[in-house]
Amino acid sequence: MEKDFILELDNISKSFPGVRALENVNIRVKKGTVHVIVGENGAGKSTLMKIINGNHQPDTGKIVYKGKEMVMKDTIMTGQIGISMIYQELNFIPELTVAENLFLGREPYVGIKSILNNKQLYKKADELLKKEGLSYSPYTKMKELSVSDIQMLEIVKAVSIDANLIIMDEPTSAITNREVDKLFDKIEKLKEKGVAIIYISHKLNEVFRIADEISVLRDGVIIETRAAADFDHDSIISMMVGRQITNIYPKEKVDIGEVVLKVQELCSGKIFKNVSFEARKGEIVGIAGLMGAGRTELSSAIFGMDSYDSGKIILEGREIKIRSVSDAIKSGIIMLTEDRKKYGLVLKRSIRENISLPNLKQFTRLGWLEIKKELSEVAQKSKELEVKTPGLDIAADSLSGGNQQKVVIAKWLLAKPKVLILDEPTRGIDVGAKFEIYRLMVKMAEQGMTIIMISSELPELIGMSDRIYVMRQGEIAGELPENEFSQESIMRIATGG
Amino acid sequence: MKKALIKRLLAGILAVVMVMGMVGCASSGESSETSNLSAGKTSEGSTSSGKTYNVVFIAKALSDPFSTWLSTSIEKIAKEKYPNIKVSTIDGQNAVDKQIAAMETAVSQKPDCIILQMVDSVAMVDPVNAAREAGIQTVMVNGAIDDNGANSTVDSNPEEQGKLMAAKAAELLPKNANIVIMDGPAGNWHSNGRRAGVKAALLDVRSDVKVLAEKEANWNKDEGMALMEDWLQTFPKIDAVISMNDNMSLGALEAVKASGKTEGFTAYGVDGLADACLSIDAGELTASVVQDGYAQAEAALKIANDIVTGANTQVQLIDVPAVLITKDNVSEWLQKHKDNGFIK
Amino acid sequence: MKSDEKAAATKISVIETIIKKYGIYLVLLVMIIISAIISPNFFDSKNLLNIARQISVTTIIAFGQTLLIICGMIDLSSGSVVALSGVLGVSVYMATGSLLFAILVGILIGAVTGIISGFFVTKYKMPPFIVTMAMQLVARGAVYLYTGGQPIYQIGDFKKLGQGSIGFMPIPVFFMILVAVCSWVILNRMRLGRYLYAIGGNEDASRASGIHVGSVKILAFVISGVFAGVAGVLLMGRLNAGLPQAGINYEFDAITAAIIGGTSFTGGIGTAAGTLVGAFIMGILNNILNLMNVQSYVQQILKGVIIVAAVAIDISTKTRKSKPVKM
Repeated sequence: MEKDFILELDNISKSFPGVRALENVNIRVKKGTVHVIVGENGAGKSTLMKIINGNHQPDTGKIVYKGKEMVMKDTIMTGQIGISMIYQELNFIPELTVAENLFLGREPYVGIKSILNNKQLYKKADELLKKEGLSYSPYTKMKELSVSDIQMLEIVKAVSIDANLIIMDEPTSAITNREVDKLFDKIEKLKEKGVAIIYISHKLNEVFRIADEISVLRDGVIIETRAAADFDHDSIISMMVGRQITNIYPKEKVDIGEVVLKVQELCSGKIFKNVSFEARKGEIVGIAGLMGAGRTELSSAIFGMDSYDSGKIILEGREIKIRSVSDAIKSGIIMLTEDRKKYGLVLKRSIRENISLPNLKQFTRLGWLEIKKELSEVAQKSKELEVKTPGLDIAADSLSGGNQQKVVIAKWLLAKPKVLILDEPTRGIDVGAKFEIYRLMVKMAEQGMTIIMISSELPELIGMSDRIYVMRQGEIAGELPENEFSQESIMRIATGG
Repeated sequence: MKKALIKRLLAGILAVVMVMGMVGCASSGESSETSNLSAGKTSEGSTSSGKTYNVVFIAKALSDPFSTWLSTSIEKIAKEKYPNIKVSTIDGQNAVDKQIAAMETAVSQKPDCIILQMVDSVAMVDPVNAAREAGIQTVMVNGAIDDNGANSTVDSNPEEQGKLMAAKAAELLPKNANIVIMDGPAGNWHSNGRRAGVKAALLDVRSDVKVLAEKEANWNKDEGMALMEDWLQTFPKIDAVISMNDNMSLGALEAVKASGKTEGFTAYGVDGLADACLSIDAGELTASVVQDGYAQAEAALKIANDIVTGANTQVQLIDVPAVLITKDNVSEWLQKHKDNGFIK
Repeated sequence: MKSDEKAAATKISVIETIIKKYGIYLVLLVMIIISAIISPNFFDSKNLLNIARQISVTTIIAFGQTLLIICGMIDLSSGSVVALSGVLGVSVYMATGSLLFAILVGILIGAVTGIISGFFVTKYKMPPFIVTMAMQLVARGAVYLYTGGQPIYQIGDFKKLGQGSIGFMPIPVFFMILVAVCSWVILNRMRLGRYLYAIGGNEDASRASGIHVGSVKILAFVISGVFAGVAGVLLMGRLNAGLPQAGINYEFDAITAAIIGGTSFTGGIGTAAGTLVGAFIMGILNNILNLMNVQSYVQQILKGVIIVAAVAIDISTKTRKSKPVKM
């Protein structure tokens, strides 16, 4: 009566330093079905997929594949046993041709494995592309393709490996509706052939079109697994976000003053358009939205890291022009970037140097650095923020994620911002450090700072914000006052559902 | 005098700025070549009626003072004595591969004759043979190639040069003198030849002379100077330095002067270029041996003229005798260098 | 028991930090001791000044390289800039009779070449390797063009710049110390230094901290050029001539000194003191091998071996894993 299971995950747990990513996860995937996994950003979906695909090893638990317990050593091994994966971040080498990319790592050879059989390579690639109805030539370079072409190619590549199990991580994030239909037809055909698919998506309407079974993952734990028909839209959302919001958010009432930052009709090509919003003194304004909704790009433009085409930025009633980061810093607009390692810190250098980097003018007299003044102010700020370190001359990369984030905050607080934009301020840091950062936000708001928080963690947004804007496809799709906050309402606006 | 210098300086700065302005547009290799070709073209107008012949001079390295002496002499003599010969110059840039490429370029221009100051005596044999196959004869100047005498050659024998220098040293050095020796780059033909001369004319005849140390200073003044500084620390008494070229001895002299141990010190070198003559004149360098660049150029052009006019197609081997320069005859050589524009 | 362990651990970490911090200084110390043992002349004050004088020109260039390498760049044109600025400095002296003018012209030429290199690196995002390689050719060509390949002789009192002394201190050594102090000040007491470290460590983060990365890079090239300019004037003084052929490959000796001194090719790491130590290691090595009259072929092999050994010791002491700071 039952179909065989192709994959059984038994009590899988996985921790990263400071973060428990997965806890006792049990999932069974039947042959010839689509098993959808839904969950918030950071719920552990990607980690789970990477464990199945051999990118990560579980701390405990076992993986049974085709009835045999297995250790998924690496992606080469999983590829050989018939598992293929389409990553959310596109994997390709821009200088390679389409054919080379399609057969990367499994190129046809002449005789013994030494000389590439290019003729064969392009012939096979051409056949494959024709079969899948893709119009471009196998000689096209990857870098010449559009993002959606590349995504389709990734799908074709994954399917071409005669896989028994295909993992698709947000495969439709970059392709058009017509291509989505094509993909779903393909999935139906694969199912008929007995191929199982694990499908990860945010887009609930898509999920219901193809799912046989759905598992909801939250904070590393499987909340529920049921047949798709037993779910509805709302029940999934409430399960995804369903955590009780307790006092892990130390939000306090702060007197909200006059408007400090006003953004009018800000546009930047196709990335964001006609964005208007405002933020007041002492206010914490949340910005919600799915990945790719344009939140980071918007704030980068306000901070001078990216440019904008048109629109106005008005600070304390005066229009300001921001052409560079130093313009923004001079005006008092500061942004904590999402990618701490890339944009936040010079990891090789000391905590002291990192904290004082944008503030050195404060410590300069007649071109000469006043080291004592620098030391005392840096020490004071790091004490205020409770950066845990044996000394300020320790390299930043020896700190934990939470403390690194505090160093970044210290650096920017020293710049005395009027408006502080926090882009995913708690990403990759543990709960304790998160709490401290929330407390800091409250303190800064009390001191009259305007805080704009971008976050993909809805509980955090709801717990900390006074007002939330929701972005969708580069536009402000809605604004929620505090009494209308709920994860369902935010998700509904964000997904357009 | 000063005004002229300022003028020259301004012109120089202007040239520098102009060249720098071209950094984005042209690679320097190209620019040096085009400048040489255009230099060849400028002498075009001055040729008199009758058949003109093209002669290409491939220099060893125009960054080398002796090479420059040869090339300016060749151009000057051609203008004065052989108005039917047009000379263009290509720089071998002191590298075998560059000089081979220069030979190929020259052959492709189908000149009537090539004058070559070789960088390497073995590597240049094939390119010279290739030119011959293309019907172009090559005259070697300032150094023969390993061709068993197949090509006309103008040279002065390095062993003779070494002997002349060493004989002067043998005459002047006190009993039981302590000397140091500086050589050119390892394996260099001129350096080895001169060193053999030093052995024959000094070390073999004055067994009382002790060689404290000997090392390569690679023809360079700065290396000669640093080496001598270290030796002055090591050896309490050095009576003389004998170097295979003047540059190294001049560097050593700077070190000796700085140490204050000039009393009774003598220094010997080979080349007899302007700086060495000035130093001899100032009573610093004791003796040098000149390779007469002007005479070599003159001889090479004469052979080239014989070849292009068909007056004499036999292989000619001309040895331009080396001349010892000391304080006694230095004024004569200073005048020659002034005439050539090397001393202002 | 547990606190004992902790104490022992901190003790080890103290030793570790000493080795980590002073690894290359220890190498220098060992070299000095060995040199003193094998050559009685070594500790002679004249010999020590002799070493300092010999390394002064390349060391001055090495400080410029240090600033650039810290900032994630490099300057391959230094040797040619030395020749160009030195020869033009000599010419100016011959024309005006002013040593000050000569030095100023050397500095100016160095600065101009630095601006040009910096401009192409920042404006066209060209790799410094290529830009300064081109500048190497251009500057060398320019100095040959200007002199016609002939040295400038009889430069009179210009030689004082290279051979004279202030008290017991040779003038080139004085300038070397001056440049060393300038470099130390830039790196430790000026905003520019912090920016150099930051850009070399993480250019994106530096930009996101409001640093004008382009201007800082150009400034670094200008400083490197100015140092090379000063070095050029001193070298010509030392050689008592304006030699257009001088300074070939000096940039490599300078870069070697910086790297031996612990400057990291990946950027963001390096100190002025380290570079000075690196230069002395090279200088002592040359000196002791010459004092011992070691044959030049053997010298080259020994030099190569010792350079690799010094850097290997430095790197291995630095990368010895110290546990990340636990909370």
